[in-house]
Amino acid sequence: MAVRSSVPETAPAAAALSEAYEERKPPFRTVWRQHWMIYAMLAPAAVLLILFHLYPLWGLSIAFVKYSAFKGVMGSPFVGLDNFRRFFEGPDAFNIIRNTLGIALGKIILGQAAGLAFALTINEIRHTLFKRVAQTTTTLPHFLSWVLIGGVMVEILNRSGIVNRGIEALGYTSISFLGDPGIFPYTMILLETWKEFGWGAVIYLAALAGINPETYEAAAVDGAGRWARLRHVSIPGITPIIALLACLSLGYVLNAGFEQILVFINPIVFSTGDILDTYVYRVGLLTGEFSLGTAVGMFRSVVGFVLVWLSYWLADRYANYRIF
Amino acid sequence: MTNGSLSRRDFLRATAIATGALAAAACGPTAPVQEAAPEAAATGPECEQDWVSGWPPAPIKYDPVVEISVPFNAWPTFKPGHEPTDNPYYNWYLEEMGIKFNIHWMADGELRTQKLQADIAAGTMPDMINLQDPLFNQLIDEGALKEIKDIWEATASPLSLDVHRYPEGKNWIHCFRNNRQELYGLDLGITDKVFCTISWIRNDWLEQLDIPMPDSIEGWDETLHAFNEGGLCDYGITAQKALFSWAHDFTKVFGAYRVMPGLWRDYGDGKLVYDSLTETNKEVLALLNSWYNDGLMDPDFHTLDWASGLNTAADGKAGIVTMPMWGTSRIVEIEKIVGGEFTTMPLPKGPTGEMGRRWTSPVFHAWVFRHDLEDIKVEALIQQLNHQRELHVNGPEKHGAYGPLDDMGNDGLFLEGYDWEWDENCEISLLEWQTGTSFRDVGFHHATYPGYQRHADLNRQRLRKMDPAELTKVERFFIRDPGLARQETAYEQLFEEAEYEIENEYLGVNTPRMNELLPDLQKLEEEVYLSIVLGLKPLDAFDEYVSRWQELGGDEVAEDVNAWYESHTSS
Repeated sequence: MAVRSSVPETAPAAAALSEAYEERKPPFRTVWRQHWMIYAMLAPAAVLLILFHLYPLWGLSIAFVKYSAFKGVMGSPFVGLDNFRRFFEGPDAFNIIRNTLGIALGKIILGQAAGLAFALTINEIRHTLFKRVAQTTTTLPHFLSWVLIGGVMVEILNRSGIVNRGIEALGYTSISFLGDPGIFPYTMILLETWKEFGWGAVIYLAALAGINPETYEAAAVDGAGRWARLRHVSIPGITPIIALLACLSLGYVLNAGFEQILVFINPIVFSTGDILDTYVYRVGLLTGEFSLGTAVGMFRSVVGFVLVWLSYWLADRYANYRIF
Repeated sequence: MTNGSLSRRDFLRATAIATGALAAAACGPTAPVQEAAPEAAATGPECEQDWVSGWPPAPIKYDPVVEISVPFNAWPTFKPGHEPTDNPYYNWYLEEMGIKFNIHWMADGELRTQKLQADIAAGTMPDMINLQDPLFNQLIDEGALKEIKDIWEATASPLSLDVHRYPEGKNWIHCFRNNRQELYGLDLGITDKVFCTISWIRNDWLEQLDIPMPDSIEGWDETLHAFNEGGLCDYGITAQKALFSWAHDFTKVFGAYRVMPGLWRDYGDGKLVYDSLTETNKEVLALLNSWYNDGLMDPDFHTLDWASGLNTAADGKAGIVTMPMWGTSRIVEIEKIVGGEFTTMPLPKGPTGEMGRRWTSPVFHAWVFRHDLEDIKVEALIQQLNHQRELHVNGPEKHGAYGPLDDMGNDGLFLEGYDWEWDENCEISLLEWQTGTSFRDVGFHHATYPGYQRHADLNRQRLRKMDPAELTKVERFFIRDPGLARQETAYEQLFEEAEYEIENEYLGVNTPRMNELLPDLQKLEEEVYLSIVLGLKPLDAFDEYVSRWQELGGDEVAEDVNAWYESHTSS
């Protein structure tokens, strides 16, 4: 990973640098002689990449055949885009895509906002012990599995649970958080945000720690209060990171959280809770429709790839961040 | 490192550090090896074993050893120092019969399904496995399974053929092809009525309110209201997200109206219709909706699984609980928690005085064999099945094998220090290991036959009728559990009410078209039925459901089902 200099390069200067590099670029033989050990160290990772990431891509061809395990991919009849057509013409395609996008976007937006708000709050707190306890308790849920959280949350969020008792004590009607199709997606978004915001705040806290303390002191000398320092020092100081994370999160737009949804979904909320991942799991692994499952998974991956590519382009364009 | 390049020395140093770290990780502290517990003390002078243990002799011994790869269950526990492939049961089959079972993988539940699907996708099936539709049919069509009719008929013992009801039992229909000329699987014969449910009611509440045992739907309605309005419970009846399941289900309520959603029925015109679409269901859905609106069911029951549903009763929030007969132990546990007393309920009569219960299909699972498996391996597995059937049916009386007297679980060698130990009164106390179950259930953990549970119950009942002083210690042990006695009673009731069962008359295997269409249709059904009960949709949504079911390919499914029915009834 390389973060480019924050000093913007002018186009002619960049072109000149590039030309100069091309002119004195050493031949590969020289590079190999000098750095063969680095290539050697890279080899195990490259082998793993080929074995577990590139070679399995061959399996995507299952999406274009009516796959029979005993005839193999080559022996199974070619059906072109039929599996994709079957999914998109199916009764649930629209709902599933809408649910996936809605839940994933909600999680990204609320998750980022909550993480940022929490980091800014923690940054303002001076009581070290409180700060540490708060950070630890909010980070802890990240390490718990959804299966575990699911068992607890069903008890907490049901009609006789502690949350609804509180709501009723305030004079309102209880809410079916997990059983009302209209509310279920929001419950998923809120639960994910609760689970991850502490962990998500870590990067923002690191960025805030990188702001020169003298900037705060100078602002204080100029009469800036806490709120003004937050607005005019803290937030501008981490804006590149905010932009960067926002861009990168685009890659997760079709990732609505398989494990969480699988734990909480029930027949009543299928219409608003069924997502691409649960669909692929159901048709691919449970009912053995390998071709259909692969086709839907491939659709998700292609869209995800385009979005990841777009996110890196945006990150480069607006946050001066490049991986390649 | 200088000038950004790595010197040979740096490289070697880095490699050494990395290797050292890996070695440290590999050889570092590992989980402590569990030491084998000392074998239980041999029968002490004060504790005398007054019976002779035994097992049926091996029907055959293979030499050289026949090796067979099968999936193992992951849930049984092993005595410390023992493992799935080294325990008395495993070793008995290896040494006495010359059959060596190799672990293909170990998994249960959904993970098992995933592993099996992965195996099928990769073409790496085990030698033998338990399958169920739709995979069963799909694999037959693809030529992945071995045809075993001749081997089975030549190898199966008369006892195996008899208890498995071969070939006429309905449980074999799905295993045959080509007009019964080919056999692709062995019926696994889930024990009779194992998934039929029985309802239990708080007898102490009935007495407290001085109301009779309800025997009709009207009576259920009145009793539930009385429990609820009398302040005895928050709700009334347990429920879970699956309305038609093996726990907290409402099939008896539907049965009282002589409809049974989910089943295919012939109403007399020689055609099968899908009973979920029958108009009468609306009456039942309206009733369930009124129960829900009246607060007789957990308002969030549609988010609960069966275990959470059971908690409703354990929390004292419900007076009627529905479980299969083998769930009696749970009822006993709940009684201890709530301090009440449950008793079984008769089937409720509907508005016309009729009753009905859902029939649990024998078409369930089948043992299948890989298409290229050597004949001798199939034969060896059938011989092992023969031995198991001899053990189950004649074990206690002919061989001194006491395992089958117990519930569906512990029917191993019943070894001291392995299965049981002496307690302070020199009576038998069960140990925690479930190894026998692991081994008996090679391939699947309910590898029984239709009458299995009855054999166990009859054995216990025979002992109960005897003078306890005449019983051996092991016999006394098996009748000591009062929960089992209640389970036997519940099981008997299931048989007494069997005449009211509403059968599924489609016993064929799903066509590829059905496999494509059914998941969406089932999802639609679950959603609509639950929505109406919860009041999220009006009762008229049922009519829309019927139209939608047809639109989504239901008619095509009905066509395939009726094609099978026609060919089946004509043959």
